[in-house]
Amino acid sequence: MRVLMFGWEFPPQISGGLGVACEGLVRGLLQTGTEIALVLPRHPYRKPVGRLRIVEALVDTAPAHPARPGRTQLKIRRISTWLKPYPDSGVETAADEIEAPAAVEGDAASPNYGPSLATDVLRYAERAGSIARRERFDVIHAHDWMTFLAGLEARRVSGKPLVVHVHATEYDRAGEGGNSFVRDIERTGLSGADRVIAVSRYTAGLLTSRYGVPRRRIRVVHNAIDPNPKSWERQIGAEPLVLFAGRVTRQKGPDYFVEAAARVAREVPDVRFAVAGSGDRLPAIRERVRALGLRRNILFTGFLPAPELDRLYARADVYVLPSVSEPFGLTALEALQHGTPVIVSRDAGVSEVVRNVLRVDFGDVDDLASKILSVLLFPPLRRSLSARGRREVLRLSWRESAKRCLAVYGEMLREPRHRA
Amino acid sequence: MIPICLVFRAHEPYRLRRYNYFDVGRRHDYFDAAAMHRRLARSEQLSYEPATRMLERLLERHPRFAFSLALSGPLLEQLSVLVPSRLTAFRRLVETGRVEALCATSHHCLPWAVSSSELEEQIRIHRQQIHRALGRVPAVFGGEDPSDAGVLGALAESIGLSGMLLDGSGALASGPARRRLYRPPSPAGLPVMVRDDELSDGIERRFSDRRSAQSPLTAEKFDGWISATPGDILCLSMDLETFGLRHPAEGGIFDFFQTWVARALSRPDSHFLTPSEAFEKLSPAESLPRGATVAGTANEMQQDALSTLASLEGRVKAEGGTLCVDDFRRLTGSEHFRAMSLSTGDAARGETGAFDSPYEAYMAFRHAVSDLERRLPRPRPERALSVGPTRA
Repeated sequence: MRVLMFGWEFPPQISGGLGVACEGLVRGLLQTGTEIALVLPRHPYRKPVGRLRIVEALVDTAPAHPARPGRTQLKIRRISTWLKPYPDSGVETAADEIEAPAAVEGDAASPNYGPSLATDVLRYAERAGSIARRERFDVIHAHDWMTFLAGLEARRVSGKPLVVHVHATEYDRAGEGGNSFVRDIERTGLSGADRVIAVSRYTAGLLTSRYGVPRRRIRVVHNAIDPNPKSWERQIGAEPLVLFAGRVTRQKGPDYFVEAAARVAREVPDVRFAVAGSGDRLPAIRERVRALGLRRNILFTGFLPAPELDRLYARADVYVLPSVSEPFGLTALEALQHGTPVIVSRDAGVSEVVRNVLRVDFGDVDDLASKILSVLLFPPLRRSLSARGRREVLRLSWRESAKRCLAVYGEMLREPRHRA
Repeated sequence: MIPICLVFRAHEPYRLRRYNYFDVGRRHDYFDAAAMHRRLARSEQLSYEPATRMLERLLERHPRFAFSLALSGPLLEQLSVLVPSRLTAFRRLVETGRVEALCATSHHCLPWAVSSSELEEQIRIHRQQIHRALGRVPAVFGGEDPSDAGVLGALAESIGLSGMLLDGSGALASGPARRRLYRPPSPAGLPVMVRDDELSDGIERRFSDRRSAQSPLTAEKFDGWISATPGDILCLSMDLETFGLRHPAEGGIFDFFQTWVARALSRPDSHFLTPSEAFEKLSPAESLPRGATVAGTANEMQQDALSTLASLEGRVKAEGGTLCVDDFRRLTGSEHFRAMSLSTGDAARGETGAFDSPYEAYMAFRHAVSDLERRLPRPRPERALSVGPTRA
């Protein structure tokens, strides 16, 4: 099987779960003997790795092809220059992120989400046509809205089937608000693709209810995690530590984390909280922390690269993911891998694949605080969650997810219009 | 034909609320009374009422039909308040002399998990409940864990127990081993009769299961299995809710059962025995092999929950007053223990009750126990992280 894959972020250039998931899936597919040409906007390493070749779409600034009006092409009149896939990934966060390690902040970590994202997305899509003419492949696989137009263009040019893979929707990122340009691209991609892969049943439901994608065209392929060779031994410190890691945006629920933290600190005064990540809610969150008198309890680390985050997982007594809308929540698997007990929003996609976690309704701050306190106060609970959670994630692998993707490819190729 | 000992169990569990850390010291209603009432009302309507009617009819029609009822303490307590007519109906069954009421504990506790004085007291209370409701004093204990036989044996004489029915025994393979009486495990123990899982579950679990090889189960088929079954005694034990609730009436469970009883009793060599009759007529051959017990497989949360609760017993009884003692006893209910089980089998059987997960069940239980402790007059010395919330 040969796959032309359109991705946007990829290690070492990542800003969230998309890059991690994309890499995991590519690794899993390579294990099954799949050949992949991975198209990225730009990437520091161009050397092929086994059956993986990385194609950079945006390295030279001159358009390779003038855009050809195709039937899937969108007409866009106004383009917001501050368009971002995640509300935090622009440079503006670096300024108020005093405690953050400078090297990983802003553009250096995620050069693909600059102020010119909208133009990048469109140029990337233009290049997709010529790339698709050059490459030999059986199916097209596109990850999230940034690559949907590219996927459609490749499909138009080659006639090969396209599967779009939804890691997050604009609804997850921005709730009822959100950017209509992004939503339009999402809709176009979702309706023009032969199949849609959702990272959870939760996301599948959302695609049906909010985007009107018929359930029969959606396949659920859960994210996974592979064994981490650098997995740290648990090193619990003297003071209990409660961890939040993720973009500090409304949808990730940092507000609930802070409110719960205040309730917990009232009961266990020496408790520590860490917020690892940055985002547009950060200034407001800091302000709230000051108002609650929690400054001595909460540490803001800014965005952390994987090795440092791993160390924090290993040190934390409990990891909290209180998202309002969470398509999957890979960080929960990372925490579990380190034996850290996890509290996660009830609807989060990740709770479809693991049982040994505590669940909360995202806005129920009392319940969240009570659960944090329970984990801190009852060692039998902490130990059971830790041991069983870790054992549970050991059973997951990206190879399994890759096999499910292969099944979806096969399904598309068996359809009459794609049969050779 | 092998003699048949039929047992119908009924129990309405105390359901813990999702009692959390911030409830400690603020409210003492650990149990969700509304949910319990709803559950009872549903059981009564769909199952208890029609099943009792069916059993009454069978007793009228067939003079050789006999069975026993294992009614739990919590069920008796709730019925006496909410559906007293059900107790009257049960009493009518018992008054035929062919229905034996079994002995149990007042709060459906795990006999091995409470102190022997607490166990004895709970048995005495249950006995009073049965006597008051049904007019009989029970003598055979309906137990669940093999270790119960030993634990109860010590009390057998003072309480007057003559035997025990065991609902499960990991030590015994299914089949013939389950169809004989066992000697007490120790001199002081009780003779034991073991539930035949295969045939009991054929009705209780698999009656409506269309994927099962036995499907559809007919009276003829079931009767055929039993006549082909060798052994000394066949203990068929099932929840009364099997009729109408677990298997809806429309699926034919009532018809099936009545037809089977009529068919079985049409043969002159068939016998339905009450447990007391069985213990009287049959002599136990060997002693119950030692095997896995529930006590031995308790997980860390279950052990912690039991030991924390047990550590309060002395103070609750000495200084807690009736309300605290009652809450303490309700917390000894085995349903709470089961809800904390991490084994997938238990989760699949819906043993986690109202909770999402065993962890939720454990948290609610532990916070309730913390609150119970705070209600006791003499506070223990302050210990970091072990007390309930402070109030701002």
